[in-house]
Amino acid sequence: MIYAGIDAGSRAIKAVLFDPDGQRLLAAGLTDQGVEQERLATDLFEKLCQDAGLARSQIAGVIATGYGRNALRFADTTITEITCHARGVHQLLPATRTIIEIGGQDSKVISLEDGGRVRDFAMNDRCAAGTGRFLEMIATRLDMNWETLSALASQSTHPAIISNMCVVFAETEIIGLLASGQPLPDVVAGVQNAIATRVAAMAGRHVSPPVSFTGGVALQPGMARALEQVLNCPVSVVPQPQFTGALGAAVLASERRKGKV
Amino acid sequence: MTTAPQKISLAQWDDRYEQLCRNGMREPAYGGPLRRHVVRDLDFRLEQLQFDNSAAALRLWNFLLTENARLHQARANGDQLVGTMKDLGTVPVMAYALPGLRAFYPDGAWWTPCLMENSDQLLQQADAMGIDASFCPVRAMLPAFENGEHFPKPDLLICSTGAVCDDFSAIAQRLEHLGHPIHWWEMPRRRTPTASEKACTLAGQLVAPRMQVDCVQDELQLIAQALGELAGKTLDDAALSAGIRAANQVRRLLGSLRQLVYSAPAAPLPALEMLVAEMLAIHFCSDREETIAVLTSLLTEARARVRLNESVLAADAVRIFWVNPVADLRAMNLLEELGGRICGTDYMFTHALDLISEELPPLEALARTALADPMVGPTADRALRIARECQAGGAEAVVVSRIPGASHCAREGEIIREIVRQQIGVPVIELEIPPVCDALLPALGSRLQALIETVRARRPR
Amino acid sequence: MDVFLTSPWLPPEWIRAHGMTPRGLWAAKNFPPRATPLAAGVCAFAEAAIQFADAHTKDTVIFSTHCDQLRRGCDLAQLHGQRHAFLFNLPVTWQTTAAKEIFRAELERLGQFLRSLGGRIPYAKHLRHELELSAAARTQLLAAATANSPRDFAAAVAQFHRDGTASTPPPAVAPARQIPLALVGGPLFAPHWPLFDEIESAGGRVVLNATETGERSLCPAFDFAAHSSTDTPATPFDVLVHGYCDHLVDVFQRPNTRLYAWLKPRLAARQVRGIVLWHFTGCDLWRAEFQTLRETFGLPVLLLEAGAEPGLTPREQTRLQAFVETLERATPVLA
Repeated sequence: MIYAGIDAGSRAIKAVLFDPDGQRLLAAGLTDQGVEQERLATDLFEKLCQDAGLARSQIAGVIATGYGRNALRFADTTITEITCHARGVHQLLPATRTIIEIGGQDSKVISLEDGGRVRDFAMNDRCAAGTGRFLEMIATRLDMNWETLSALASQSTHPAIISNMCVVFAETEIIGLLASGQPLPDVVAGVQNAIATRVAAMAGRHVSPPVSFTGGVALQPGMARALEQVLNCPVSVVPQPQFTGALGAAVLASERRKGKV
Repeated sequence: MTTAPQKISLAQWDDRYEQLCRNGMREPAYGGPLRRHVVRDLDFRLEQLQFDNSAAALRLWNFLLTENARLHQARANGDQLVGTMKDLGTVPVMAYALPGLRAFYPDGAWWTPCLMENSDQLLQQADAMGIDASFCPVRAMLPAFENGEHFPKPDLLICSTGAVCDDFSAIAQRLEHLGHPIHWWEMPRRRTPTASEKACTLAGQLVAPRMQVDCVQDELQLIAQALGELAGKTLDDAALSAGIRAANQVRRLLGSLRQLVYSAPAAPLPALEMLVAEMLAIHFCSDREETIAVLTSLLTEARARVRLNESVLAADAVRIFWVNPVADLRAMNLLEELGGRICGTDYMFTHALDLISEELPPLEALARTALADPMVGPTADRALRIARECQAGGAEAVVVSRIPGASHCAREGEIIREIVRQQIGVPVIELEIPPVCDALLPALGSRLQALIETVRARRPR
Repeated sequence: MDVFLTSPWLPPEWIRAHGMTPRGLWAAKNFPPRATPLAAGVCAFAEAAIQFADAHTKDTVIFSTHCDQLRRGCDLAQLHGQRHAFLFNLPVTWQTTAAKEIFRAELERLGQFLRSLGGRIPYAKHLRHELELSAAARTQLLAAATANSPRDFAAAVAQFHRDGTASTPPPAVAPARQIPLALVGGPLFAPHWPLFDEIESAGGRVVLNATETGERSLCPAFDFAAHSSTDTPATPFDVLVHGYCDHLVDVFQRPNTRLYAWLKPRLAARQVRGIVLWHFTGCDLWRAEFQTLRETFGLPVLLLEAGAEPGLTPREQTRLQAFVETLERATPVLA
């Protein structure tokens, strides 16, 4: 039996098809988020089924997660992204004890017990400064794409210090830094450090390794290193981090069916 | 309309009220349909809440929402009004020991925004008075004092200071600068006695040095004198003892209600009504006798429901221990909508729930009560009590509600989390709940839902 | 043993009388430790104090109860295993004898604590000697308050809090046509001193450093001619207690009218034209005074907040410049 997980995030909708018998991902895809998110999610789901050569009726269960989960009426049920990311990371890196997930509009630190159960979690509920939105703002301001931004950060020799808590004011600060001649790679690296420090503040004093990093922002090279520096421990990037939530949802769908959830 | 226990909206309360009246419900003078508080007082927030459908709950809400009117009537009848601030539950016991005095908490106006959905814009007015959103919603009391449209201006203002709460202290100081004199009294920071000091036991398994009890007692003596001067009578030990006995009557009732509701397998009363009920312990909502009647009515209703195995929530609701009061009452509804229930609380005034000793000299008893304030001592003491009560109440998780701008919230959650985790190992999350949380409901809901999912996943199969 | 004090109202004289070395934490080497991310509402000074206590477990750190964050900061330091952290209950009321009794009892308790760590018994003659030295140093520094440049004065006061000595740099001639300003607020220490330069670049000059670690911190005064209530000469311990309780001036006092009474003549005498209110983000006690300062003295007030990183952001520099420009153009209003 095949199960589906749909993660309706703030910037993108991600979907996966999961085969629990083979413990493998059959298909994964994403689409930009929009106003008609149920239609967008449905289209994505159906496309994945088609690509995998499956009929809709062969999908035994669908769980929706993420910011827009409650709008996806075709899902059997909804589970929060905290639980889904925890399950997804545990599926891929079972030794993980702390998950850092940085998405488009929020960031989370999730503590796991043995067996991958969530013990505790904290979420950024203050502002966008600890989220992917900050990087997006910089990319837009610098008229760059995501990949170019990442490459720049790796060239930094002396990351700038971005002191503002608010991403709006931080934007002004960054413009000021660039105007005063600060090298662009240092500014971008500074932004990555600012995100990492906000997340580290949320994590508090006790971060139990191994630490796994997931969410869309984990695709940015340099972010994991920035987190390692502030947390003072190794940080592993989860494979295909943008799909962890959807994967977790699909795995939970299969476990639910088997009565484990 | 069904009479089974359930939560209903304000609109549904219109029909329910008629039904209760047809069935012979008798109400106190302040009774009436809940709707009138929206129409008359513009309490629009009531339209967003879900209420218990019992006559006891109706009485509770009417009692709460008519407090200002009651105070104005008391003033008109010649009573002297005492505004007691920050110490939650001690000075009002003294004030009510003298006839002709009514005590109330002006900082209770901080609830007003959430009940009024900012319709009278108290918070914006506080901004203009120099106390902005970086302070806690207690700042709503500043414009309330100035515009006189809520509570009447008290004849005497008494405020504890010292080991209390910075932003409250700052707001009260601003109030004084605006021309409202305050009788300040020092609250020492409770600590463990040294080896050479005589120790005094306090409620909640706490101890304090004798000298601290003496210090607070001296301060309360000065307050007793001030109250006596205001009332034109001496507040002597006999009067204080009678006041303590009456306060304990309230505390016993509330204790029974909490014990019954929080320990019942399925919650007979909702969290929102229980929060309001607990608040009555602080200053009796300006009418001590009526508080007893209101709590008795709630307890009767809760007992009946437990006997009949009736509940407003599912039996498998996740048992949550809640720390700190919420700025928006909607949050208590949200918790239950998502499958949680309250099994214990620490709304920052656990010392007002404990019985005051009737064996000790009254001022000393009150001093010991005041010193047992959870905010006055090490946060570890508070956390340990929370852990004990979690264990006793079978709590499966703890929510520490951050009050926006409240300076004590910056660090206490970290300490509570660490100690509760060490002691009992349940998940502990912190949530910030603003005065009007409508825009944040999805985000808050996600967090609460995630907590409930986490707990359910931890339950043995 | 070094004993680090988180407030200038914790008497270093008492520490010295026990044979130990008091150091104002804000004036210590290695303070603040490396800036780390702050959670919402957390004061950078309190956080730095906790980190310092965590890192210096062999030294003693005396926290003060005068603010929420330091009170809980001590809780945290002790939770982290710092066994030499002591929380001193600094009374906030001052109009009753209870406050003095609390202060006296706390000094005695602190003394017991210091002796448990190896401190000596504070004999009266030793205490008197320390009080006399301190009084002389404070007097010398106060005399130089308006003569030195703001930065030099701040450095001299910091040195006093670091090692008890008063060395005053030569007087500095104030550049002409600088707007006289008062800097009022919480602790201001070395990494933040470039603020003085920023103010001068903008055209202002701090003629009254009324921060917690500036001129105000020199307030305690010791009256050796005082008598106790029984008409016997006051003991040095009495002099110490009265010296602090009767002269301590800070925002946390209730009522805080003493702060305003202290500020008023100094603002007038130094012809201050504007007030810069300086506080760490998360400090409600100071922030709440913004409007009251304006209303009481009728002077413009600029609010500057400090976070984990020292230095003004470009946005704050602009605000400061605009503030001074406004004063340059305005008709002088004196307090």
